[in-house]
Amino acid sequence: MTRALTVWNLVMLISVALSSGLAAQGSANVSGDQSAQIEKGRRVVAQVCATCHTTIVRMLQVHKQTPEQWKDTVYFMISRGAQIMPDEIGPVTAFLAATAGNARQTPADASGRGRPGARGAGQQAPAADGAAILQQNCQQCHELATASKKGDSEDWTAVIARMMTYGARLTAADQQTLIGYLQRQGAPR
Amino acid sequence: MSSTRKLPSDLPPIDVDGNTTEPNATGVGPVSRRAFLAATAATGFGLGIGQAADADPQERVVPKPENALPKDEPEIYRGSASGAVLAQLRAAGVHTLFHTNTSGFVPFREAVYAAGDVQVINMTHEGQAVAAAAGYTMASKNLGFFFGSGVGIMNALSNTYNAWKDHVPLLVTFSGGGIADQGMDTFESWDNQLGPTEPFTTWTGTLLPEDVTGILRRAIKFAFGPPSGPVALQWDGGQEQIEARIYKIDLATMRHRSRAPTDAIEKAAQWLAESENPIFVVGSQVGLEGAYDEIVALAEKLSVPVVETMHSLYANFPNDHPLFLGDFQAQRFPRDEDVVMSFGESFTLGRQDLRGLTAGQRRRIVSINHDPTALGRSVVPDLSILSEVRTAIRDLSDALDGMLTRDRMARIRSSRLATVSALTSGLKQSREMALRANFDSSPVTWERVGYELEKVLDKDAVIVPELGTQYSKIYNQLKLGGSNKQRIGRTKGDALGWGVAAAFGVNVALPDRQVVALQGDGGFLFNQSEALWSIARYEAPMLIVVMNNHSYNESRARNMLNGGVFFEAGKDFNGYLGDPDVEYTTIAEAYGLKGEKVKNARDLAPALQRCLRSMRDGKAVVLDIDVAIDGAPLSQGTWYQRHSIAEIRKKRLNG
Repeated sequence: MTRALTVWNLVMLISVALSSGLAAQGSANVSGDQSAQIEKGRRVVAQVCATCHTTIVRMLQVHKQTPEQWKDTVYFMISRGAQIMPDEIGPVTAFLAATAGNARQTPADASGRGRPGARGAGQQAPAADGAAILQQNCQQCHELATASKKGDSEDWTAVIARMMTYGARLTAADQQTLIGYLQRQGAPR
Repeated sequence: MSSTRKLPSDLPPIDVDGNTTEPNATGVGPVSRRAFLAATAATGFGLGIGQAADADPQERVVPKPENALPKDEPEIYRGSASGAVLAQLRAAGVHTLFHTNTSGFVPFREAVYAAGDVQVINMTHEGQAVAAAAGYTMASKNLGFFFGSGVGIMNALSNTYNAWKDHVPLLVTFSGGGIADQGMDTFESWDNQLGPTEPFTTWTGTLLPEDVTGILRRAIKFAFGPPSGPVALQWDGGQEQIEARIYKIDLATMRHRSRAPTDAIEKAAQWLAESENPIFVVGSQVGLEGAYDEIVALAEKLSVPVVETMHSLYANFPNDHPLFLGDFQAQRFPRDEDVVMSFGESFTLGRQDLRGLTAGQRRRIVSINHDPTALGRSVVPDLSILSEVRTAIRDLSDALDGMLTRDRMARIRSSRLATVSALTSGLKQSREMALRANFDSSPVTWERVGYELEKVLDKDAVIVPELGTQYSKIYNQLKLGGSNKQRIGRTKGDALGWGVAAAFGVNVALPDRQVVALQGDGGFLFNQSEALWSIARYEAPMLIVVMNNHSYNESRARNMLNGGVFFEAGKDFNGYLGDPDVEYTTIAEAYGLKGEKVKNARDLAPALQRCLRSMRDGKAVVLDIDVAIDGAPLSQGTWYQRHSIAEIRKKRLNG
C-alpha cells in the first residue's frame, strides 16, 4: 500500500480516535477542570506522542498504569526526547490515566501477566462499530487511509481472512462488523 | 567565514519583500557582500576577488607553494612486496595497524619491525579489531588498516558491515585467497575468499606483487570514495622481491570533493530566505568534515531551528544551543515547516526519519550531501545539491548575504529566535523535572548517570555509545557538540559488539582525551570482553560504563508495545539477562583492569571519582551500574524459557 497520508492527517485521525474511542471511556466522573486537563493532554498526545508511536491507540488499549506510573512514563519519554512542555506534563498524565488507567480494568489477572489490572488474554473491549474496529486493530500495521483500501479483484472477506493469518486478533463478530463497514466504504484504491 | 567562489551577477540584492537594497553613499545601511563587490568592481579597483569586468574577467588566483607541480623523481622501493605495502602506507601517513593472530604475515611483520615508526595493535578477535580500526579512523580521520587471517573473514564481517554503514574508510586485509587451490576445499580455504565481504565493501581486490603499491593506492581511493567505506583486500605472504613506485598520498584530500553549481546554491538560498518555517537537519558529514562552526553560523544567521536524526554518528551541533531541538522524529517546531534543509544527512530510516514532518503539501526538501549515492536514496529531495558540506554551507551563507539586507536578516533572526528559544528553554525545564523526578532512585536512572558524568568528565571528553534508543536520557544531560564533548557513534549499522573496541580505537587515536564507552550490558555480551585484552595491554586509560539493566530492554519494549501473546501471558521470551547475572567487574579484573560496581544512586558520584583516579593512573575501569529498565515492567521481568541439561540428562558423566 502506498503512503498516501501525511503524518499530520494521521495525527488528526489518531486524535479523533483518542477522543472518540478511548478518552470517553475514562471520563465519566470527572469535573470540568479535569475534563479540560484531559482534553489538553489528549491534544498533546495526539501531536507529540503519535509522531513516533503510530500505534498509540493500540498501545493505550494494551498498557494500563496507575497515574503515578503514567507520570513516570511521561518523564522518561521527555528524557528520551518527547517535546512536552512543563505545563503539559500534568494534562498528558491526566489523559493517559483517564484513558489507560488500571482502575477500569478487569480485576482478574488469570493469565498471569505481569502488569496489574490489565485485560486478560482473549478479552477485548466491545467494539462500537466498524470504524472503531478498524482504528483499534488495523493501524498496528496499516495507516488508516490505506487500511480501508484494497485491490479491485479482492473482496473484504478474503482480505480479513488473510489478515487473521498474519496475526490480526478479531472475534468472529468483529470480523463481520468490520467487513460490513469496509464494504460500505467502497473507496477506490 | 569566506568563500573563493566567483560571485553571481551584480544585480542589487533584493530582500524577501522584493525591495532593492543598494548601499547608500554614506556606507550606512544594508550592504551585501555581492553589492559591495559589484560596486568596487565598477570603480575599477580590485579588492580581493572582485575585479573590473573590462580589465580582467577572471578571478585572480595567487599561486601557492603547496599547489606547485611536483617535479621530483618518484620514490622507488626495492625489497619484499610486504615491505612495499608498508612503505606505501607510511607514505600515506598510516603508522597504526590493527592485527589479529595469524601465521601468514611474517615478511610484513619483519618490515614493520625494520621501519621502527609503525605501531601494530594486537587484538584477539577479528571483529573487535575491525571495530577498533573503525573507531580509530572516525576519531583520527586517518586510514584504518587491519590485517589478519583469511579464515577470520567471517569473524570480521559484523563490524565490517558496521563500518560500511558508517562510511568509514578502512582497508580490511586478509591472508590467503590464492587461486591455485580453487575448487579443492583445502585447509582453511574456500573459493572466492572475499565474496562474503562484497555486500559490505566499496571494493574487493588482491594485492598482486607485480603492482602492489598501485593496487593499494587504488584501494585507498576506493575507501575514501565517495561513497567511502571499507575495502577488502587479500594478499598472500608478500615475500616476493619487487621494485615498486611509492605514491605520495594526502589522506586529507583523498576523498573526491565536489562543489555545487551556483544556480543550485542560489535557489536553496532563496528558498531559505523566503521560507517562513525552515528547519535544518544536520547529519554525520558535518562532523566528518569538521564543519561545526560553519553550520552554527549559518543557523544563527536566520535563527533556523536545528535537529538531527537518531542515526547521526557525531554530535554535529551543540546540544545546549538555543536553536537545537534534538531528535528530528520528535520535533514539534515548526509544525508547518516549509523548507527542510539537510546537511550531510542520509535519512537512513527513510520514511521513519520524516515522521516528524507534518506539512506534506507545502514542504520542500533540500538535501546537501558530498556522497552522490546518498542523494535521493531514501528520501527524494526537491532540490539535490552535490557538494562538500562545509563548502555548501559557506556558499549558502554568502548567497544569503547577497540576497537579504542586514535589516531583513536581523528581523527574521530575532522573531524566530524568540519562538525557538521559548521552546528549547521549556524543553530544558521539562528535562530537568524528569531528571529530578527519580533522582535518587535505585536502580539508578539513566538521567542520573548522564548528570553525574557531565559533572566529572573533561569538557573535551569523547563519548562512544552503544546503547538502545534510551541514549537520549544520557545525551540530554551531557553537553555535546561544538566546543563541548564529542560523540562518536553509535554505529549506524546497529550490529551489536562494536562499542568497546571502537572506543579503544578512539583512544588509540586520541591519547590525550578522556574516552568513555557507554555500553549496554546486552551489547557487551556480544564478544566485547575480547577488547579488554587490548585495552589492558596498551594501557588505554578508558572508562567503560556498562549500563546494566539485566535485559535486552530495547527489543523487549518493541516486542511488547502492542501487546500480543507473550505480553498477555507476562512472559518475555528473550529479554531477560539476569540468569546468570554477569559480574562485569570480575571480567574486568580477569584482564587486569579495575572494576567498579554501583547499585545505588548515592554511590555513583564517589565511584566515578575512583574511576577518574584510576584513569589518571593509566588504568581503564569497567563501571557496572545497575540502571532502571525503560518504564514500568512490560512483563514478568525474570521469566525465560527454562532448560536444564543437568536436570534432563539420563545418566551422570563418569568422574
